[in-house]
Amino acid sequence: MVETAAAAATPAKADPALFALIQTLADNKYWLGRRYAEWCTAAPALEAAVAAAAMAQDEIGHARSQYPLFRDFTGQDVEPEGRTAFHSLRALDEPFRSWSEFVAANFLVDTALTVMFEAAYDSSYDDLRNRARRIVGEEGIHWLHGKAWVQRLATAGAGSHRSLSDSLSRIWAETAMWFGPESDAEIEELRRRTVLDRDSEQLRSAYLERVLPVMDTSAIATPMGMADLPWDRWDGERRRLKG
Amino acid sequence: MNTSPAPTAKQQSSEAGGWIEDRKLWEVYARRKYDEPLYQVGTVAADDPDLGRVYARTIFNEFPWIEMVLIPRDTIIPVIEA
Repeated sequence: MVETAAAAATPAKADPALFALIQTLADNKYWLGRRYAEWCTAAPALEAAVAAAAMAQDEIGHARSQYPLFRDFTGQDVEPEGRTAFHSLRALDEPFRSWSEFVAANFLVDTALTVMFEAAYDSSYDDLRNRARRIVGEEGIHWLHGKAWVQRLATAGAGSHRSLSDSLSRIWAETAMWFGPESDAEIEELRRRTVLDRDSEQLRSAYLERVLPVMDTSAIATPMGMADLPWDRWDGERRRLKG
Repeated sequence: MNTSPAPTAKQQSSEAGGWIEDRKLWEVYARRKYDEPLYQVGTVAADDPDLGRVYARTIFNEFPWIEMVLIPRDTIIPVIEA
């Protein structure tokens, strides 16, 4: 009985599925925040610059709330500045080259992360559930920003539409793949343990149901069907496309 | 990881096909307590109402407001003009 209570109070250090989830959430939030922050002085309007700064602050705050959880799995404190192998999307490896790349990441990557946190809203892992509820509440404004800017750029002329379409295409496959292949073993295990309430396909469907209607009404063609995703290039351990 | 600076606004705007300027103005009203009226806290420029909401929330975030609304400036009817 004592052993059971102790085990329940402290997440097992050997819990690769849960640790992988926390790492990908933390690292993607961290780099999304860093990339947003780089545009605080380069956005196409003062208001957009302030919004970029606010969203950067939110994302880095969300990441900072995840990293203390690493101690449960590694036994030591982890700071993002000290990490050498991030479990973040390749889409966030380089600074955004244009405002349309900022908008594409805001619209696709930020939304994918939110869908995952929504799946943890009633998580059996208390520390994740508590953070997920706060994060989901704060992400509403990020979604509004991404959606509105997609619609804005799509109707701002042929050049803007083409730039936005290219930026969305560049990260489309990887972001859709981030939820894992069908029957992803780690996600399925987490769903079975009610850490998450959806499997990979359900997560991807929830994500697509959110972004596709906005793309459709903005006359942006779907860059790639789900049947064509390049799974042969997928790094399942770090949840990112291989180089 | 590449941490080189982001492109300048000028670089990105030319790639996107031109500078994007918002022309529609919104008066931002908010209140902090239920027993106080809404009062004007500022103005934002946004052609899209959703962007107006985002900008108002992020720019005027100095207090924990209980209510914030946007009023299109072009719907205001002057009674006594300054």
